[in-house]
Amino acid sequence: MHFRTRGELVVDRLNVALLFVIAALMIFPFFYMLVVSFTSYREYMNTDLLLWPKTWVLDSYRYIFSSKQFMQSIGNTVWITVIGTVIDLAMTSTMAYGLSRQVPGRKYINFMVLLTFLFSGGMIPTYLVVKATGLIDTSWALILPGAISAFNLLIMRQFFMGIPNELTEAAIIDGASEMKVYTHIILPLSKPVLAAFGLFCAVGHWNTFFDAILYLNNPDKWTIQVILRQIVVLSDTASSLKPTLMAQQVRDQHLPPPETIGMAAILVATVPILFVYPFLQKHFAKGVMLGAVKG
Amino acid sequence: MNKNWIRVQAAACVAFVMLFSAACSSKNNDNGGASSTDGSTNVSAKTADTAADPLAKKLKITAFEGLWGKVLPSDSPGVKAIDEKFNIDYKPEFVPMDQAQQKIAVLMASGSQPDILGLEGVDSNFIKWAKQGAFLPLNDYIDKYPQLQQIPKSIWDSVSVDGKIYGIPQYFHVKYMNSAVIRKDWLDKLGLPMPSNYDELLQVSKAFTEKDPDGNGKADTYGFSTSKGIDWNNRMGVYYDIGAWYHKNEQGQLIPGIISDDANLDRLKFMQDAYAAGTVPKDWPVMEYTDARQVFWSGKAGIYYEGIPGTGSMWNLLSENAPDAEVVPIPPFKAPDGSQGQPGMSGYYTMKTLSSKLANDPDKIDRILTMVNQFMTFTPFDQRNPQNENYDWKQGGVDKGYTYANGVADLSGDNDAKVAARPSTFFTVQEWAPSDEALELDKGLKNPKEAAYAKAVIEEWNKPNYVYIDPFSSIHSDVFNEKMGALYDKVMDGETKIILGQEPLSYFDTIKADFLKNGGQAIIDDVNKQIEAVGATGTWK
Repeated sequence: MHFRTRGELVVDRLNVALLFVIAALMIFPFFYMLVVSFTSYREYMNTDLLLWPKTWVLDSYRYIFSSKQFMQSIGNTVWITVIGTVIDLAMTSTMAYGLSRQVPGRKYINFMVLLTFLFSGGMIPTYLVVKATGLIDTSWALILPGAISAFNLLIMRQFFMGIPNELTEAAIIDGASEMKVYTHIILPLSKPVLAAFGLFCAVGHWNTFFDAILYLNNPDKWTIQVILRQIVVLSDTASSLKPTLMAQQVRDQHLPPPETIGMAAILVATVPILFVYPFLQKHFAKGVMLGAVKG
Repeated sequence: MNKNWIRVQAAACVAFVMLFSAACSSKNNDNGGASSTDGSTNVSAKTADTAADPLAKKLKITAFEGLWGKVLPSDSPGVKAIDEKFNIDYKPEFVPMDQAQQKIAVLMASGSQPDILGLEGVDSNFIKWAKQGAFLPLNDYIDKYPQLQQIPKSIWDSVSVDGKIYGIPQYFHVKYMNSAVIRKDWLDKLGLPMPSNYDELLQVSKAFTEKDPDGNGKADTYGFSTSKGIDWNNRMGVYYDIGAWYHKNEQGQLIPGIISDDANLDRLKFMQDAYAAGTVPKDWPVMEYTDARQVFWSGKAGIYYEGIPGTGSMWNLLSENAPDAEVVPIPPFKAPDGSQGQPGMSGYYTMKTLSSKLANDPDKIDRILTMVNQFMTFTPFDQRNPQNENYDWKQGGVDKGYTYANGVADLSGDNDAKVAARPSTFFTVQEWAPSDEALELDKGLKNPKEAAYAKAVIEEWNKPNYVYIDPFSSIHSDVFNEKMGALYDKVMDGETKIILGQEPLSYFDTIKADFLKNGGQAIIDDVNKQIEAVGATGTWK
């Protein structure tokens, strides 16, 4: 048994204190948003730094929840996130499993996947593909084109290859089909990697912003991030000289709603995705790359 | 090293592929235009049959544009009203303004150009596309539509490329640019005269900070407010304006105010002293523009800047916090060269272009320009009421799109349903006023403080020889568009250092030299060349 020396104890305590400070720094912006979102606009404008409102008001939340566009965009985003994540995982894991087995042409397909690392199509060719496949103005345009990420695919393939071949072989000898091996052996053993990528994908879909603007023509289908930006975005003044003079005046007449509403909107849009983290925490802790390293 | 080389090659390949695809798509456009020639004879034949009623044929018209305001769904009542009135199937699309440029670039490159494309202004993309033949030249159409004839030639010139008019500019007043305002009630209370130069401005700022002008017994007021990027630069007239092309260098070339000693040194000295004396919030270099604005409108600073029409909610805030507040414009300072006035603006903001694919579809061109003509018709202030048919229709009908009480139409934008009922929300052509005064911007303002202020501003701007018409407004310079943004930010960083006292005033020479070396001289050369070519000169109006 090793008894800690005085010095080590001091360092330990300092460590804990420091971590508390860092944690507080991380939590403070959220706390501030929460406080401001419950403050009246007048009080907010008249106070330099708000730490606790004098009166708590629900106006901002009333405004947000009564806004049809806001609620609709949350609905759209939830839909895209759930369906998108399921499709991402299904597509990526089936392809990764296939590539982890001895299928003919595997090398060629691997090469094709790797190629996309070097040559990305770019915005315009991708737009052309989406247009040609008739996905413009549908939520599928936000899900299908990016369903398989080459990076995720390769890591997942590596993870599957790390599962002892004997398991698969034994199952096949016992008469299991490839599909059965995939669903009954590979997937249950791959929960950490699925959870980790599931989280990545979900966050990615939740944050969909530019794709929504690019592919969706009807604002009814926009995602929460687009609406959020319209609510909170502040005009960026000095970007260029000449247009600014007039843009500034036009902008001043179309000011975003007050900051209190902005804060409430950010909270409402951020909290749902934050709640996903704790549930995936235990898998996530095991690490994404864990599967890629032979234990 | 090897990896980097692969990346470079990859990037080059991608660039090549993109260029190639762009080239292909513009070729497709041409083909599309050519192949529809056959159809055009039919179209014109049909037009002849139905000449009696130009709206007889139902047409589909697509439009795309960036918006500063909220984007509403295009199946709103406002769109249906447009469809009915003009017998069209109107498909407008809007995206937030700061994202519009990117989407427009994608639409253009992928051959999805809409019939009507709205652009924020003349930029290098506009000129490039115009030269590639993407837009319809409008020269031959203008005479047919009375409202279009109202637009002055100088503004048509600024949306033309090689003599061809490619855009329909949208009205924006030349006068009333945002400029300095001051709390007159504070001046009176402290017995101070209106400042007429930077020394006096400094004295006033100090008094506003130290002498408790709001009389609450606390030292909680500032002389003035500003934000990062030095949001309005405390410019006090054209001479001190960093954006105007007013001053000349030793070679006789016009230069932008941003690097002129005349425009900057007095102003920077003032801001340096004012900062040292604590008359501006200490954290301004990291403050957002909205926070700086809040300092003034919540009644804690005496000097800021504002234009008309202002923002109603800000005036209400000031009225609540400081019921005695009286805000008036600070007249521009009399400059060493004898001038005393404000810079004018270019007279338009945003424009509409028509797709060149429409060239063989005279019906559609006529329909679109008829709509433009209708929306552009100016309604004088005293006719903005339900009895004026055109106005009432454009704003969605009384009690549906707007409310009308005490002789004033209320067009506020806080009710989505009302905004969605207005055709003017979805066909964003501005009314073209015969003059800036005809707008009567001081009328119909709900807040009495704002109304009084607007009246004072209009009076101020109506002084003779007050508005400087910048020759820069008549030209467009690719070099300027490409390089100015980054250079501007750098100059502002340098000026911030001077104001904070980290660098002496003489550091401005370094800023200036950097500016000229890193592309500033190229901008000046190009702008001067263009100005000479069109023969524009700076004039006072």
